[in-house]
Amino acid sequence: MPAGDIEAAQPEPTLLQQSSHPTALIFHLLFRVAAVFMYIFSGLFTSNSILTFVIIILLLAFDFWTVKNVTGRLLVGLRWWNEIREDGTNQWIFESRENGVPNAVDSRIFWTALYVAPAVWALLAVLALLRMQWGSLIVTLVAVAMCSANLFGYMQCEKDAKKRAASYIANQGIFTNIVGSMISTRIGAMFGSR
Amino acid sequence: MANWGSGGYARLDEASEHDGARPGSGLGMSGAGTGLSDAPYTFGGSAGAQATGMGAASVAVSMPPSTASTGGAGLGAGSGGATTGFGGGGGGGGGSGAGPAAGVSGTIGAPQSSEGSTIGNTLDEPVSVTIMRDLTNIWNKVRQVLAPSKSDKNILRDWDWWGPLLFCLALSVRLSITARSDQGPTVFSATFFIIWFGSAVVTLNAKLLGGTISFFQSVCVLGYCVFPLVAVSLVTWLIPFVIKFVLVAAAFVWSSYASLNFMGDVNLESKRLLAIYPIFLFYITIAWLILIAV
Repeated sequence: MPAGDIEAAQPEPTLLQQSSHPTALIFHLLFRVAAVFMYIFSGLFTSNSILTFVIIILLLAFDFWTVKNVTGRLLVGLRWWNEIREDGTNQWIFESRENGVPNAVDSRIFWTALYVAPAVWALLAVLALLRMQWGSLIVTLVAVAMCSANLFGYMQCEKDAKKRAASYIANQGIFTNIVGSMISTRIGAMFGSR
Repeated sequence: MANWGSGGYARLDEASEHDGARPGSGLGMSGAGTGLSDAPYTFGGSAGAQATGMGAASVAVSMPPSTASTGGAGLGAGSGGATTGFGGGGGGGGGSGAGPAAGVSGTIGAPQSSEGSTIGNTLDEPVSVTIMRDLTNIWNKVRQVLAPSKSDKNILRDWDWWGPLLFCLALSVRLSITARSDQGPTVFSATFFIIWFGSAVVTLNAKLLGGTISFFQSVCVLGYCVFPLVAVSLVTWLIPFVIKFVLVAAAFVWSSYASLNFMGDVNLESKRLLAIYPIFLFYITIAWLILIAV
């Protein structure tokens, strides 16, 4: 787990109360859980395979967009994207918040969901392959591709952020860093008490 | 542990409050040169955000100490020298040229503070801004397909796959609905497969010919340009065959023309025919599917 295991969750408040962005947290989980749920239990609602396929693909697309564009930056302060240069080659761009540590609960749930989703879909893909259900296999492969794209994007982003933080500390010296963290703590407290 | 979010009651769009207190945050609203599902704006890299050798650039979002020390007014408010600097040009000198998509750059950028830090505007933008920007982007691309014109390449730079996905699903569902009931799933998966596989092959062809277009962009263009055919397919089951034929043919020409405009400058002058012939084949196949469907 890249981040977030520093503090053990306190027993009293719920996870949502500890979160800085409960709504973002819910939406982070909502679409991916719904997609897996739909995949496993769709037989209970409908026998229409096309409808199931369309719904799952749309849920996956919403999940991809939400995690990539919204919850990543709110929950852990990271964002990645791709840009095309003039010559048609790709350039990956990583943004990160340098000061301020992400909320421990937010960060833990964010990364857990990010890692678990591709693993679950990969497992389902293997199952579909063993049962030779080709339609299901396609769905699960699309899901694996989309979930791992986000996972690798954020892993690269995190790596980049750490590298930058290290060089920042090296450049700034320890004194400035301590002052900076004191200030950011103060500001964090200010926002917390707002 | 300092949380940079606000307290437990924080809402999803709370960032707007941070934004409001930040100079230059209006940028997010401008909507110019926007990016969908990716790359909204390019931020100028500062000293701390140089491109690495692997072509990855970084944008640092940090608060310069001078900003922080002004304290009371909140995040960066009232910090004279530490205004945001949205320097232009493709993420910090990674060589992605300060293209038109970075049109925002330079106009808003204020003198940098000595720290060389950049406050990116996408990390703290309200969610509504993100959604609206992407919706605007999709709409701009659809409009470009419907009314092809010699466009700037801005639209292409901000590629997304929403259009390809939605149009592909729409056409697949449409064709499977009127298919014979036992053939529905087959028609659906065949259409779905033909569109994605076809886009990939046409793209591969253009790449192998040496075109300067990325895989993502090309699939984006081909997918969006299916729109006229998808639109026609929605009414073809209501009309007699002759009118249907004319409409589908017109939509085919329209789709091809729009994609050629998009693909106009991919540096393939000498091999232009080789590049566009598969595009015609691609759209003819889809048009044929629509024509033979009930």
